[in-house]
Amino acid sequence: MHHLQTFSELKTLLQAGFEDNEESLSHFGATYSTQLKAYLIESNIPISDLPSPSEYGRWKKLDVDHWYVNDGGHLPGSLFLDSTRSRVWILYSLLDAGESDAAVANWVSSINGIDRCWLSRNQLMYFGGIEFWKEKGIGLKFSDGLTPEENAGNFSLKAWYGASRQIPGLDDVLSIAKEKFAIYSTRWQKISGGSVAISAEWYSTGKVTINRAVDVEEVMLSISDMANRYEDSLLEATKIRDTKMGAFELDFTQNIDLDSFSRTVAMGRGTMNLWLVETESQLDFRRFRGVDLHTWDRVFMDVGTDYAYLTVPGKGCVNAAPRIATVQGEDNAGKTSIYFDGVEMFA
Amino acid sequence: MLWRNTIQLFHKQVRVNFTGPFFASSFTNYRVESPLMDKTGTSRTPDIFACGSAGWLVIELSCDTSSKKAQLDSYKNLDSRSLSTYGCTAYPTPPETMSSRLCFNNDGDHCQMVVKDSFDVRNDRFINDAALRTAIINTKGKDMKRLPEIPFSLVPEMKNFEIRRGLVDIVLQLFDTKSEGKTPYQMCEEGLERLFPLIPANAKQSLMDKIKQEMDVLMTTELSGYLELRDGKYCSTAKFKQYPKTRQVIVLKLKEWANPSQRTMADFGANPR
Repeated sequence: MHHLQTFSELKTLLQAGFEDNEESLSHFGATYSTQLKAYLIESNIPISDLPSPSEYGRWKKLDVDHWYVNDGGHLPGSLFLDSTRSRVWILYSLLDAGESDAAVANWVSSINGIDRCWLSRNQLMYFGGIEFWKEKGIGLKFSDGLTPEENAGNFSLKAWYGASRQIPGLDDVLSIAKEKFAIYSTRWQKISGGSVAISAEWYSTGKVTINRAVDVEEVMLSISDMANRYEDSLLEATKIRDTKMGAFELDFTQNIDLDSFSRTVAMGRGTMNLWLVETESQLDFRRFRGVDLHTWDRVFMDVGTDYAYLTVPGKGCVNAAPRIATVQGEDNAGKTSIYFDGVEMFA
Repeated sequence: MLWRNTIQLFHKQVRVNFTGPFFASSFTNYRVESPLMDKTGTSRTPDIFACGSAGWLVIELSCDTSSKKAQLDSYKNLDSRSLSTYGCTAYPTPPETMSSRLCFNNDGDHCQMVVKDSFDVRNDRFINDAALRTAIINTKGKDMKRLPEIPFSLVPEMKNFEIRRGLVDIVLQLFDTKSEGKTPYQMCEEGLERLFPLIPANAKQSLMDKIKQEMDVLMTTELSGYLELRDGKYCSTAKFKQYPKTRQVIVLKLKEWANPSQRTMADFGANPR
């Protein structure tokens, strides 16, 4: 691929992809357009400390501040980093879907001080409150991760609203399921002048795929908007951690088996990635202290059958709150909300 | 428990149906172990002080049997203008003074709170702020057994098993493959968290000695072979591997060390049902 030098070239490349413009794409050495993906990355390190994206070469600064492109290595010019915000970066990717997800997963897990952004239900539904945006589909997930595999009651559903209305009663089922299980993706369309300006799908792991779009700047603005919201939430939660001593309250819709939870976290097993020691036990309540294996930060969790309290001591990253809420919600706790002093957070 | 339950009086926890009386009466701006000046120019450090919309309060926490009367009496002479150091405004009235304990004691003419399994109060008549007094009375009898933990896990007065429970998460961090180990000083700093800069040097030294004593027991008995002391730092050894079963063994040993009375048959691999 042609080596990108400027921010303007980057926008031209992305725009050509949206238009599937072979002539423009060929200028950049591309023979076909790849779906644009973006990942919101929570950062605790300065951009100067960020290592290269391994086999994808090194980060090369574009001609504007805070924007970088991968250069050299495998598939140069396929990853772009917007580090404008100090706590939430945006990684744009033109890699094929499977390769892209794997590259980001490796990148995030191998670098101390960065994590994904874990979008709450309200954040996934954010565009519903904005003019011109329409909700077009939803993905729900419940892995029943605390139950042995042979008895687990897994639930997974992905629905596009147009089709669901052809089956009477399906909308009701969706509404009920939505209130019981965690939402892991939402699909949105922005309508402009009677036609689709953006078609996008947001995931609870902070990823967005752009399925269709007209204007690259409009797309970037919508992704930036979500990044801004998440950064605001992180800054608010950090202020609370530093000035208060209350706990984040996680409110579940599914009852969890406390014995299974205790056994799972004692081994640091499963998608929760928590390694905890039980320090107090009552029939319907347990206290745990340990580490979040994503970051090895200390966490305290006080867990009831359908709620948990999370305390992040020291300078531990408050991103643990939305991560644990999201991962535990999709794994075993169903729809999960985060509160502090009765006020919803990460909303 | 004393610190945890007292701090939670400033917060609201919906799922366990607990609204702290200080939260309910808008005393949500609080600080721990922060010095204030009295009207004679003497520095005094209440365990907690808090500012509300129309007044302020100080709380002294205690687990021992000696009365807090003299200390609480002296707080009546605190100069509210020194609150400006912490971004609060001055008040025309002296602070409301109260003690917080795990069982009642005679602390003189001051409100006395008990924050053990449930909230109780005596001498509430000494609270002048009507809204605060009402909130405190309304909290009487509220269950405190399920209130969440607070960020600091150690305080200087802790003994043996309390110290051990305060260290378990800090010990787990030693098993991070990137960990360079921790000295007793670092463990003390992490356990005390925001209290660390506020605690006098001799109290910190005493706590560090207690940490070293308990860690040496852990290193030579329960986690023998898994922990070692290298250049004054407690470090994990190559015997530890990041396998679920090995992690479970470490957790089991830490429970045994920190909480021997809490062990159940499930800890020994028995089917709990």
